[in-house]
Amino acid sequence: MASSELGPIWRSVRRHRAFAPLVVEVALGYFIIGNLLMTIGWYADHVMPTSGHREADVVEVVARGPAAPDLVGNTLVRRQDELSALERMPGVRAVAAVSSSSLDDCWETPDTFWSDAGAGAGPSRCPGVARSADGVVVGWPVGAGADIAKVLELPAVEGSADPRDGVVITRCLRDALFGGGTALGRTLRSNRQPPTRISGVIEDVRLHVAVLHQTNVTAIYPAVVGDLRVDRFVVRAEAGRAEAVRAAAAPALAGVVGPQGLVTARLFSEPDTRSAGIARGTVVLLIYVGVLLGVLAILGNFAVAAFLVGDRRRIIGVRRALGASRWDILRYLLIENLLPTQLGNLLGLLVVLASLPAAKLRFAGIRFGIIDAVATAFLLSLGGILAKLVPALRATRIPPSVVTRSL
Amino acid sequence: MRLFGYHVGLAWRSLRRDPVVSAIMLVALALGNGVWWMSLAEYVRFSAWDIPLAPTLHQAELLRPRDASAVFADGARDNPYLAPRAIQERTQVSYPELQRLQASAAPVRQSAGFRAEVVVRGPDGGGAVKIARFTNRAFFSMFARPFSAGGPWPEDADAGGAGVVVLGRATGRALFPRGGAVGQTITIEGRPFRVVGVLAEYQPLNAPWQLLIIGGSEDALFLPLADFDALGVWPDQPLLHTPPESDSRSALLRSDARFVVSWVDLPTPAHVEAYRRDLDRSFGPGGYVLRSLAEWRRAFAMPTSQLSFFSFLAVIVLVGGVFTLVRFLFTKGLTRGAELGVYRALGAPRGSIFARTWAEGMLLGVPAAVLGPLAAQPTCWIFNHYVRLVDMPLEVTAFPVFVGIAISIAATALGLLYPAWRLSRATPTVYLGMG
Repeated sequence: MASSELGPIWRSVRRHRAFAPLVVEVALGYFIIGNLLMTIGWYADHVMPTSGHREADVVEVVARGPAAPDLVGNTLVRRQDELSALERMPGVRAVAAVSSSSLDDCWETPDTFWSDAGAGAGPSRCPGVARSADGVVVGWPVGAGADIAKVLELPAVEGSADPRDGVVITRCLRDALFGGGTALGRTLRSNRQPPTRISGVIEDVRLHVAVLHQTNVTAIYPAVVGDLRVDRFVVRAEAGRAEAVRAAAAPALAGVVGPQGLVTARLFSEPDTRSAGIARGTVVLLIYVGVLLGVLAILGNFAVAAFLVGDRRRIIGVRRALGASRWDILRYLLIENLLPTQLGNLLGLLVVLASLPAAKLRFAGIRFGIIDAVATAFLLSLGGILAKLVPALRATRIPPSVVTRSL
Repeated sequence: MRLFGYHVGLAWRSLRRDPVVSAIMLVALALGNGVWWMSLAEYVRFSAWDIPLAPTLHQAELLRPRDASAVFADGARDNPYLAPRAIQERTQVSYPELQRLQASAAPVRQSAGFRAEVVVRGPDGGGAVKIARFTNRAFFSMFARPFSAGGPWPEDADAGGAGVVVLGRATGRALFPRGGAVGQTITIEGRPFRVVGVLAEYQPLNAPWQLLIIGGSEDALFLPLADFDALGVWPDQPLLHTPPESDSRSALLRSDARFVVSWVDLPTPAHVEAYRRDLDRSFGPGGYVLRSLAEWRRAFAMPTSQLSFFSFLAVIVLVGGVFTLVRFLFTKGLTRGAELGVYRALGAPRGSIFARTWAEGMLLGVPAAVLGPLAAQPTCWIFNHYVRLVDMPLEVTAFPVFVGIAISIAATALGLLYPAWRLSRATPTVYLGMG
């Protein structure tokens, strides 16, 4: 394509009143497809962020005993019996009671954390984690038994990863509360737990489900509180024996929970969790909707292009009479369509960028990268070409003699 | 109006001149309407627009001094992750507060309830963990919950110990797939309960009786509130303000943890005044905000969410579809400018061209709108089978079908005004300028 050809084509585009709506239509398409690509990428990234601890050979066991209203002592005895029964199982290396794990199907509510240091501890140093003006950070509490560090192989950054001596917090919670300073010996306050001395800091782990707010802000308390009927354990099995431990867990606890109890056990496989399934399913749904809208756009464009080409039979006939080949006609019509499409892409890109802050409000950390921008423009251009191709190919068969028919 | 049939006939003939192109346009518009309709249906079932609630319903928000939990109020409304929690804080009360609210005799109806996990065993003996709602008989009438079989438990069962249960729709189907649930016995936490009713409809995801249980499954069972103590169950996701004095259940119930939703029916201003007097006595004049249903809906509108983002995107799809139709008619009109010129030269008024163009667009837009719910079925299937946000499938129900079609037709009718007006301005001499 010689650059000298673009001028006449551009003039032709500008002259035809039907092309201005095409620019707007492509811009709308860019907005929709661009946002779909962005959200598909976001959900794909959030299918499940890595937990941060070694998941292989870990089994989660949940035992539900009969209702024992207010008998805390009895419940603790039962929990200890269950713990002992699990520890005695062949192939088990360590067991820890936990109040919740990242496999939970239940979407918990977050807690608030703050410390005596308050807002004077310098700015939060954990990227993406917000702290209110009065120094309060939103995060996730977990109660855990003594061996939690051993079971999950939690790496300590400061002090001990064992919550027996106080609360263990993640690096992000420390950096958000104390601006990167040491946390050991300080007091962590929360709306759910009494003030507790911080005994250790661990590398970030996510003990809750995906698609939630700053899940790397976690505090592991020494006491497992909550529904006394439900006991939850994480079990570290010997290498390669996790499946055998999972299968044997329910029979091992049957005698402790009794006939009205219920025991479930599953491998610590986060991709199998409900929240990961929802995120994966959403990706499938959005891809399907994207393809559907692509088909819609091509069909709509095709219908319009059919009329546009029909409208230009005489012009095409004149060009053919003046020596234009069929290829020249095809190229002319396709480029004529591509020029307003690119203008629409540009307009759509500006709208997407302008609306990005609103999208970020709903999808934390969502990005509209260069790949998304180019892919959207490419898909819309391809759609435009496909929509125009059949009418354009038909136009190449217009003979030069068509010019004379309306005279 | 007299010539309406004539213009529609002309429009129909115009479409039939290019049957393939017209059919393609119809399919494209129906696909777009399908995406729009599916998104609207999800939004409707989330927002509970379709449940007719009595405007005389009222709820009291109990105010507490600013403390650690109140930090959610600061910027929470702008944070989609925290806004639901902030709303929950304000629409729920603690167990001791509920007892003080229930002491008032002013309301003609009162409903209180909360969710809790229970172990349920059906006729086959298999156990499963389900979410039960502990509430009272008035709940079913106050929130217009229809029954497919049976009905609510009798009035005296509210006192507890009657061993009766109402099943949610999904649970009724799961436990008794062949029907006949009413009169059957199931085991809850090891105790027998007789099924007295099964609900006919799934609940909205943002149910007014428990706002923003996002991602939450259906209230699988409904049990009398008074049975809560006997079963020894724990409230689901209590929102703690301050740590309870101990880990026991009774300490949790004595604490300021919010987990109960309470509504009252105050049909006359006299009832409202009497209730206010009682609230003044219990919580102090500045200790609460009493809202009517309309005020409550304004105060607790659905916060910014990912759902609202996708709904907005669906509106853009609808606008895009209308725009494509507008461009189609506009282009078609321009390419047939000579014909319009001839019509005008033969005496056709501008109104005639306007009506014909508008009718031609509506002949495509109306069937496409009606086909929208049908075109949405594959998308709904993917949503129900792959996303599985909750245990209640997205279904075609009358309200979203009607609203979706009506909005789509209205948008099309409005959008078509432009090409109809633009093309009706064709002058009789336009034919001379063609070519």
